[in-house]
Amino acid sequence: MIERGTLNLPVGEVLELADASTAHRMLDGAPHKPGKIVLKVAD
Amino acid sequence: MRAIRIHGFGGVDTMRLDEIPRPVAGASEVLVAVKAAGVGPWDRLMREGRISQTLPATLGSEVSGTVVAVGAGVGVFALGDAVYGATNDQFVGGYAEYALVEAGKVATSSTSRATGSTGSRR
Repeated sequence: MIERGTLNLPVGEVLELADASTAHRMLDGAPHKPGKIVLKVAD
Repeated sequence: MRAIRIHGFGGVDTMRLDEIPRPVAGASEVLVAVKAAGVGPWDRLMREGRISQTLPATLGSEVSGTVVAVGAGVGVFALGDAVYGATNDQFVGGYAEYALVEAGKVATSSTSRATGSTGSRR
């Protein structure tokens, strides 16, 4: 899939590094948009 | 550098934003200036102490970013390479401005070879 370029991994939430605890609350079941949770550390 | 560390095992309240020294790349490691860190169920298991870990520990098992230092014996990456992958066998260190990763656990991104200005960053 990677070689064919057909792997699609939608990102649901992008949070700042300082908000990692919010991201973990989402892991623990807090509502979040469907998809991967990502911490944005630098631009 | 800023890093999210746990100082005990348990809930979200074990996580803290700490200021800690930037790690130094050892043999077979590269230091990555982290652009983004993935948050996944593994990180939760780590936080809860279900995986053996020395404390305090920087959470984070997967990163993408730019190589800013290359340890001894690493021939496949150069400064400025854009990379992504897992961090290390302990699967820690990713929620930080700079992450130590095992060279064998990351690959160059398809948009590889960032500009020299990023590569010379310290």
